[in-house]
Amino acid sequence: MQQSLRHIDFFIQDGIAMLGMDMLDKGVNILTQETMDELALCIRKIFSINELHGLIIYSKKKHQFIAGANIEDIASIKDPSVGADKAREGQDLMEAIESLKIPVVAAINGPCMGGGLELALACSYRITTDSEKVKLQLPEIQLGILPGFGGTQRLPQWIGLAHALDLILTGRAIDAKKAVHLGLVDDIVPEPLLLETAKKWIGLGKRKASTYKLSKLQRLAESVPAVQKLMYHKARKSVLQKTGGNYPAPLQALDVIEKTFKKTDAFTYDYEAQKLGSLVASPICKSLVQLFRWTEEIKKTSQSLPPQPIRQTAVLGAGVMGAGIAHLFAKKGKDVRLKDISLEAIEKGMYKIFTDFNFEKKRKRLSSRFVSNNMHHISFTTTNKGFKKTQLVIEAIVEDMQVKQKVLADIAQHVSPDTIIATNTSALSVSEMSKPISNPQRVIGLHFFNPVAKMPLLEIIQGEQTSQQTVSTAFAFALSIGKTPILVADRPGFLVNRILGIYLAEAASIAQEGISIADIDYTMKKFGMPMGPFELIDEIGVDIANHVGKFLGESFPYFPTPSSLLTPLVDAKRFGRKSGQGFYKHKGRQKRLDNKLIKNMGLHTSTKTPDDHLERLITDRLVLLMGNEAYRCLEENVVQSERDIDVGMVLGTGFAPFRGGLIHYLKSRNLENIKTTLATFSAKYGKHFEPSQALVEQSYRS
Amino acid sequence: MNTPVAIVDGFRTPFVKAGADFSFVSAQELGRVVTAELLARSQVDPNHVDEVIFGNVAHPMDAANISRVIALQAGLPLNISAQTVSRNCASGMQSIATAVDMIQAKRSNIIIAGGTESMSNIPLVFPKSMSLFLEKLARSKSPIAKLKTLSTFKLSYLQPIIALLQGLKDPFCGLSMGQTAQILANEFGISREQQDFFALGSHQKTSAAMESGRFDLEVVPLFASQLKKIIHRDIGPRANQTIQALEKLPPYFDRKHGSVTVGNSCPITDGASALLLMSEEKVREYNITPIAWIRSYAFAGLDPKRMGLGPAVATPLALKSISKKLSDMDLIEINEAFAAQVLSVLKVFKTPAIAKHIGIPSPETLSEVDPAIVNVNGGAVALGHPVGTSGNRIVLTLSKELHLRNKQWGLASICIGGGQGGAMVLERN
Repeated sequence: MQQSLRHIDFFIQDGIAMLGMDMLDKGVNILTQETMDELALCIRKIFSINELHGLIIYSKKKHQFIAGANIEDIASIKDPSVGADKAREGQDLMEAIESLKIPVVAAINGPCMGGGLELALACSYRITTDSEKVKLQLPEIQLGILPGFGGTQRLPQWIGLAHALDLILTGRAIDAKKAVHLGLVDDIVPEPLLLETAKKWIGLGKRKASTYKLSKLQRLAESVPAVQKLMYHKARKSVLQKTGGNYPAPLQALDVIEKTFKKTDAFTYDYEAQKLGSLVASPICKSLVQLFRWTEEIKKTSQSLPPQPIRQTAVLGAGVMGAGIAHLFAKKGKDVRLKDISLEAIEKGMYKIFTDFNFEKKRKRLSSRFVSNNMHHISFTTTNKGFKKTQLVIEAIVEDMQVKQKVLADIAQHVSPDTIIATNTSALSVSEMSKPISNPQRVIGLHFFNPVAKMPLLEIIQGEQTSQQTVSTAFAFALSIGKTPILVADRPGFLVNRILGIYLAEAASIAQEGISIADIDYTMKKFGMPMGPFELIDEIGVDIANHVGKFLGESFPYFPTPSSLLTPLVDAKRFGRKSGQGFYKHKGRQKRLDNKLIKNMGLHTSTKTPDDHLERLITDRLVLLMGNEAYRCLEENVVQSERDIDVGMVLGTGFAPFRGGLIHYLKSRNLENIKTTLATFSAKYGKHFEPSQALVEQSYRS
Repeated sequence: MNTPVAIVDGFRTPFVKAGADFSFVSAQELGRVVTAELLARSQVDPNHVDEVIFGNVAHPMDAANISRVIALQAGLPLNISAQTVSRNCASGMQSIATAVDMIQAKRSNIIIAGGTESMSNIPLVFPKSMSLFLEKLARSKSPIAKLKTLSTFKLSYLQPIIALLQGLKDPFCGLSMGQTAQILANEFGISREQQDFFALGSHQKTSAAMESGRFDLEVVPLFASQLKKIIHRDIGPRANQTIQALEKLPPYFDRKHGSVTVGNSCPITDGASALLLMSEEKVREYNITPIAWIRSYAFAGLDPKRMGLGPAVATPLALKSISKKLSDMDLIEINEAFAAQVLSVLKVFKTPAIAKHIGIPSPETLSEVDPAIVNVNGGAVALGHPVGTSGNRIVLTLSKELHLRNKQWGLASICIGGGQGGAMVLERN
């Protein structure tokens, strides 16, 4: 039997069956057809052996347990019945593990996710190591599906309805301590003692699922139908609030739990499988999975040249972006030297960094050592001293070419000749900026998005002179600080701000044509954007949006600019959230449209939601325009692939992930029709709608 | 003769009088900031640092072997060792002396030697009676026994002992440091007026060094997160100090007959200082121009009651070991614990009869010094005296001043509570 197992080290020791997951040629263990078959084979074998005391399922990979199902399988299933069958197969395997007569211990030493956690739930006991790498998660919702290997059934059985709803419907990860608290994990063990301790747990005998950590009162409450109803109602409300009803998976998962909780017949598992089948075959799941795979693909892109390690960094400018970047670098273990022209500016920046760390500390309940250890990575100065060992310096100062050139050329004299010199410009030309700098091949653009800590995208801008070595190092550096990088050409606005720029400008035009701001914002949120265009302008800052809009208008003659709408606001010092009022009035996290202002500007207001026709018009004018611009970017080689556009727009702007990205959305509609619509718009609204060459070519192909 | 050791560079934090802006900044944080800045500014690879040595007197409870804590927090690699040294007021000079020994013995090549002290954070402690009471309470098992023990409680158990004051009192002779200074003032005939004018001079010179930017060469700004503030200037020196204000202060250590006041003594202060030291060999390897070289040092003991004369006993030893005389010195730093004490030392220097009388070794090395070359940037009376730091600070200030003025020889000396003196001789090239 040993010979037939390729992914599992299976043996019997002192009457205990040891099942060590060790997937061939992979860094992680996942549940593929092959590994599931082998697992099933092992379980069958165990059934046939008498006098076994127990089974321990563990991983032979360091800090890796089982990361879940095979994403390729999820991507490939197009037929709901195939999906349901696949789920049943998984359910059968978990059922087989659960029905073994001997106690089974899952000895978890790393991420235990999706199908991996569902497998662990079928065991009598779950113990984990004390490593920070351990996390438990049912992330299926995030891929547009639900836990289909019995997860919706067994999780409530162990931790109760309320906690199970929370974990399944959000797909969030919890650490081992939290898991112990919930009753999901029995013991946290020093890593070297994991298997030894697992054997001790076997001694406690077989155990059936029970909500042993819940109080009697909680247990009683959850058994009352009226209480359950209330919980479902609250869960549904929270899901709808978060997703705007655009994501069916959490609602379906909720439906499964609602219909099957505390029921014992065979129907329950079958219902889970059916629902999984229909979700996994849906276009939304395909969109989300594609984005996930693309993001992973970007992270795994290998560079042509080996990257140089970066540990010593410097940030010029202690404003919001500079402080944000310094905070991120420090958090990721880089030494940071922060420079600004005055100590007052640095003081503000340091305090912002300190409050950011403190906020994280409070949220994650970390010790104050967390804050100080991170802050210790940062030193600051107003001089040019102490940059000799800097390996990467990035500027985040005022968006002015001359100033940037001067500052970078200046610092270039004080760092070593091969120190990477980066700019965080959001639109200016990197090639131009590198001109006065010695060794311009080391100059690169690293465009972070605000807020730096939260936004996962990094645009890496390769100037005309930027060397491949610099790009390689920047790419690896981006990954080391937890960002997803896309490589973009040195064109005005790069990728994200260019597409966002034309979108905001067009939104301004629509408003000026007489459609209310409320309708525009409502429609785009309904489409799936995290906020409407005017809310976004307020967030970015009306002045900055205006500045970027003008810049793009100068760079691309066909670009509309929002300046006739925005300039009066800037003149009135209504800068958006940062000044308390823009199109909206802001108070803390609350905001409401300033209708008085809107009327004064000669714009329309509205009180009722827009009708379908209007919604369609707004969506098409804004989204198809963005799509057209995206194709134009491909045409101009701003990015190299549709992948980078879709990942870039989702990670950089929050473009509706369930739509799979901008290009994905366009393609999911008929490109031929889109071309026609664009042509009509072009005649009516302006040349910026003129279908781009790349889009026209694609439309023939589709 | 022993090989000289190079001072490559050095920095200190601002010196801030205790209870002010550094109240929430620990001694380890003060030390970390100067160490991190030394590392950032120098071209030395942190992996090549052999040892970190800090002097410290009060040893914070949450930082056993404070040098190790500083080294790790400043980002030095885990394998680099660290020790903390203590020689009371000369702890910060002792760290340099220990480093010099290690480098001369070829055990080490590159050492960070500093001093750090947060006198604001020296704790109050419960008296022994309180700890005995708590022990007894813990041993009482039954509720009745517990009640019985509780009934023995006295309010006096809660009377805290101020550890700072305990530290400033000599346990051997039973006098406070200020009282020992008063003894010197009396015995050497240092008048109240002389002391006050000395103090005034200290404030004026220190303030001038702050204004002119001279101290920017050695001071590293520090972000105090509790106050949301960057502190970049010394807090204590008074540019507008007048002699009238000093004259008004009552004598503090002998209220009836005394002349030593809080105005002509050093204030209690927080601060850290550190130097990067290097062997001759490594200086050549890195192709560095050091700011100065350490040529010799000496420590010596004397009567704790006259601890303020420490510089007078240690200086001849340090000079004699390299066959130098006090008259060869271009610049001199004498740590200003008390104006009376510095003035007494200067009197010993210029009066061979007194030197001989009080048993100074090798008095032939001594001679009168020009006050214009002593403490040219002021001193502890204005700047304050963080006990574990000052010995380091005067060597730092002296080395940078030699460099600035392009002078050849410098002496830094310090009196040490408990009855000792320390002296170190620097050479520019």
